[in-house]
Amino acid sequence: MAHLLTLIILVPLVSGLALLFFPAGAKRAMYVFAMAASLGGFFLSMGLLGGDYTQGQFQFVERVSWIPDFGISYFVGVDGITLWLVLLTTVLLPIVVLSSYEYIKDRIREYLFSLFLLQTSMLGAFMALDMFLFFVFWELMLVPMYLIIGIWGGERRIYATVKFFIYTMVGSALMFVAILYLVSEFKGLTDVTTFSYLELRRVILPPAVQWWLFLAFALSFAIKVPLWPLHTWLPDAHTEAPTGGSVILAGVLLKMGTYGFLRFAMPLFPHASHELGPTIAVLALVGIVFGSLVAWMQKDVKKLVAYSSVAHLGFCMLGLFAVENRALAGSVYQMLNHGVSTGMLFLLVGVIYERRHTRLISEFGGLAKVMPAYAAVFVIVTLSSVGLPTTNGFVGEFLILWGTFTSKVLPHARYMAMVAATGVILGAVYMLSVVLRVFFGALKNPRNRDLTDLTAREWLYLIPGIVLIFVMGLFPTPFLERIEPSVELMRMDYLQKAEKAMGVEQAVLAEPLLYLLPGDRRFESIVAAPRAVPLPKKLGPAGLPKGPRPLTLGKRTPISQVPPGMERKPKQPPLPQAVIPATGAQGGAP
Amino acid sequence: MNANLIALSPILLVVAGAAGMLFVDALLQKGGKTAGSLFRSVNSKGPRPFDPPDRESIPNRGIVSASVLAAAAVLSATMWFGDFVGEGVGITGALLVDRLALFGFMLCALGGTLASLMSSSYLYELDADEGQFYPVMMLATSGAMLLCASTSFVMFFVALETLSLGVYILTGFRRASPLSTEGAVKYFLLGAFASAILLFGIAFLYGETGAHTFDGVGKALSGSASSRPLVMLGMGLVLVGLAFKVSAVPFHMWTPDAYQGAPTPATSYMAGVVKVAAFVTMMRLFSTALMAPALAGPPFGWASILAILSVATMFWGNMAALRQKNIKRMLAYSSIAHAGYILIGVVSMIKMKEAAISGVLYYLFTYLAANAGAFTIVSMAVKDGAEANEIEEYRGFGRRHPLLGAAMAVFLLSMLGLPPFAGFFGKLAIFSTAVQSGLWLMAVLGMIASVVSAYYYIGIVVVMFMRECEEGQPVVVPVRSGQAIAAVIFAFLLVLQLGLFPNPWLS
Repeated sequence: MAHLLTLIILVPLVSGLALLFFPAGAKRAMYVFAMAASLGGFFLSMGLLGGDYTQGQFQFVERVSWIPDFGISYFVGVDGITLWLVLLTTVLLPIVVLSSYEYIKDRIREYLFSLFLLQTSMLGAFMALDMFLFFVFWELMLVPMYLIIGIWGGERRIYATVKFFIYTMVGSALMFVAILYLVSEFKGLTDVTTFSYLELRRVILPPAVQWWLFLAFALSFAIKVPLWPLHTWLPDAHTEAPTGGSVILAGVLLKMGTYGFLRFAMPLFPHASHELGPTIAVLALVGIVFGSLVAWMQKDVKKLVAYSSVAHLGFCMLGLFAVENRALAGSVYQMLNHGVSTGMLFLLVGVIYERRHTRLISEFGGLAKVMPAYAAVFVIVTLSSVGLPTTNGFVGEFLILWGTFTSKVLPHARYMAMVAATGVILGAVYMLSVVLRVFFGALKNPRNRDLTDLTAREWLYLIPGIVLIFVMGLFPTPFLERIEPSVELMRMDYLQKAEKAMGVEQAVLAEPLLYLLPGDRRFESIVAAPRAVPLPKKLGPAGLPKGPRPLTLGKRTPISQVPPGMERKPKQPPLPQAVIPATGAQGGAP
Repeated sequence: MNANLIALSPILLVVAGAAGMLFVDALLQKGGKTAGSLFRSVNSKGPRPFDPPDRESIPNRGIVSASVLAAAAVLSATMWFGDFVGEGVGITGALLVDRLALFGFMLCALGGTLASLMSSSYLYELDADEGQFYPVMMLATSGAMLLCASTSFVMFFVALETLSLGVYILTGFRRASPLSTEGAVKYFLLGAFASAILLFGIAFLYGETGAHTFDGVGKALSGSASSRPLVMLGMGLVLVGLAFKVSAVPFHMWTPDAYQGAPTPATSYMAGVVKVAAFVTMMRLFSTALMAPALAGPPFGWASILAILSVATMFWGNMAALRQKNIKRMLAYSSIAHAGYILIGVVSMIKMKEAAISGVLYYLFTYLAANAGAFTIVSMAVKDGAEANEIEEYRGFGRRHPLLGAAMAVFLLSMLGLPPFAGFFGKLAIFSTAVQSGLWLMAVLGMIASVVSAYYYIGIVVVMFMRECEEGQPVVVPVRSGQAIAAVIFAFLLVLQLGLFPNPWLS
């Protein structure tokens, strides 16, 4: 299909708008329509599996100029990473719609509209290959989520939603300036104004600039992840959001942060992320341990699940900054796992909340006697969340821990892996303890006596999750074989650029460089040929290291150690713009 | 036809419209109730110092005024799109109608159109005599348009005063309300001071250069003359006068009172048209007369001063808006903050003149549309027979009137700068120029300031959609007025169009 991605983005938007024309009372009709639309969107997105992901390149690319004066285009594509995130997003929507049938009592039309608008913006953010388009979708996500929490949320919903909004907005404000800065640097190099990610990715900025821009991006993404200590909005937002909102928030929105690191922050600013990676990994570790411990202490099941998200996403972040193929792939896999299992946990909490209108653990006990099926499903999901072998959680956590253990860029990688492993144990502790306290023991509270077990509707939206848990746990290969090429490509690009930045920095890297990726030839025609200015004679090709050179592990070359013969020249004449020809001959100067 | 006449046709149209309305109004009103009653009634009548309006003619006047202004806007837009004026049509060195001026014409006329559309129902509710309201507004608009095109200090001052006098009258138009009078007096006194200061500055510049056109001053100052102390003093005084007009901190003191006291359409007019005209002329003045490096650049040039003013304005405006309980006051402070963002664009003119000017114009456009839309809804809101201006009164407004509530939310989110609405692209235009001219720190500060503004903008959305009013209390209802609805729809479409398809305007 020619415009598959556009279709996938537009279907939710159009159906959401169509929903606004339903009469307010027609609840059943609206839900039937919403189910049909969301399932249609899901089946449509299954078409993405037909792409060729073996090379790790972007598939189904579409590009239409939008605001030519600013070099902004509607530019979308999916690779092996986004493929699964998109599928996760589309598979969750029908589940969320179905789960909201009883929970949302008033203004159903507007609620469904918000859900569909949110869906469009999330899909757009995952698929966008234009930084500006990404930012537009990224900001657009805020509004529907803000409404969902603020209108259909719990008691303290307004506090929670305003906090959510402001937190996220703070992060993205600085990212916006960073994007503009990047674009202006690119324009300085090529005289082309473009927001295209594929082209901007080729700029190697001076280290000091990279630091600032990376920090601006990282702040935005870290708030979304959320990385400790920026997580404080999350428990509030989760606790107050309606079930559907929580599922999407945990299932997809948080992935935006990790995805942003993987797609944007790391490849764009490799040197800075190389330098700051260990720090972020440590923060992720703190998040894992801290999140688990705090989760253990919670009295409210939903808050517990929310804090467990902090821990789970800590794993994802750790995997990203280990920069090992296994860890990266595991990290992407763990994003999906977390989407499935935490989404399921929120659904299950919603099930019990609809019956008892409380989520306090102390109110329950012995539920397995009255709701055996519910208890069984809950235990399965718990095991997945804990990472028991044969469930999906195991695969992701195992790959991350393995990759971290062997990581060459993290200092003390083995110890880090060990600390992270304690997170797995703590996860088992808090999850199993909540199962114990809620489902087993004596049925003390008389109000729990007459609870009904899962209804057909609840089964319907729980079964896909259960199936996914086992499929992803037992047969991870179809997933991983599509993830890995993209991850590998990203890693190579990242390491080469980080290395290039380090190799070049002593010589000339006071100003940005343009660097063509070997794999990027497809997009060369889009950019006008960059001005290839030869390097100054004195520097010669030696200024750029020939061929791949393994990164200096652990101990990086300090910037101050200038190899002999490569002292920084006085900055006259202005700046050599080293352009490595795309032919792969990495010599630099012609 | 004469090229000059064609170039000036939008202004002439507005002036002719105003004169025609005054004339016809005088003929139509029976019993000697002429449009001149503005001054007479204040002196002679008792507790209700104005004549009851002629209710029959109410819808007509607003429509007439709106259509004349809309025609002027369409005319200028056509000329702008069609590139009728080329490099610009100069008229005796006093006026220059170029693309910048035409865009300014269009924005001024557009702001006037939206203000007229929201006026009829508002003035009806207020029982005010609108016989004078529209002509005054149109004449002020003609002043604003002249200001956009003026290239000599004489014309500049005359146009500025035409605009200001009109706006003073509009501010004090609610004669029964002490707030309105207070606002008008404050605005008038401070405005008169500012004009005097401005004139003083102009005198210094004239004395030093012997030229009264912007060009002439620019030429005279291009050499070493630019660093003479009196020139600096003159420039500083002119800058203060203009900073007052755009209500930059610390010259903003009049703004909240005048905005709160003025009739809501006049507030919208002030926030939109006056700002547009002042910024357009500010850019023209600085970019032609005062571009000499010693005058523009650091350490004491206008760019540095404006940069400091800009940061102060953004933060002060937003911080003060956080504390407001009255929606008009809040929007007043928010308009101060917007002036701060726009000043960033003006500052980046020193490096990238063209891009900065077009960025500022685009920002003004997006701001004008969203602001006028928000004010229209405020002007429509009535509670218990009186205006509803307290933010708390809007509890549940969005629930009861979802369409108007959604439109209001869109206007506010656009002003906040959230994509895909217009305001975001305005911010993009300004901040990307700022970053490209090396002012990234200002862009960062601007974004931080706009995050602060998120709190009060979404605060209104929270009140409208997420809070219920107490049982038994009177609720805010919108007046039924086709014209006001038309203004809302028009502004809404503009906000969407400018956001989703900004290209025709940007290129």
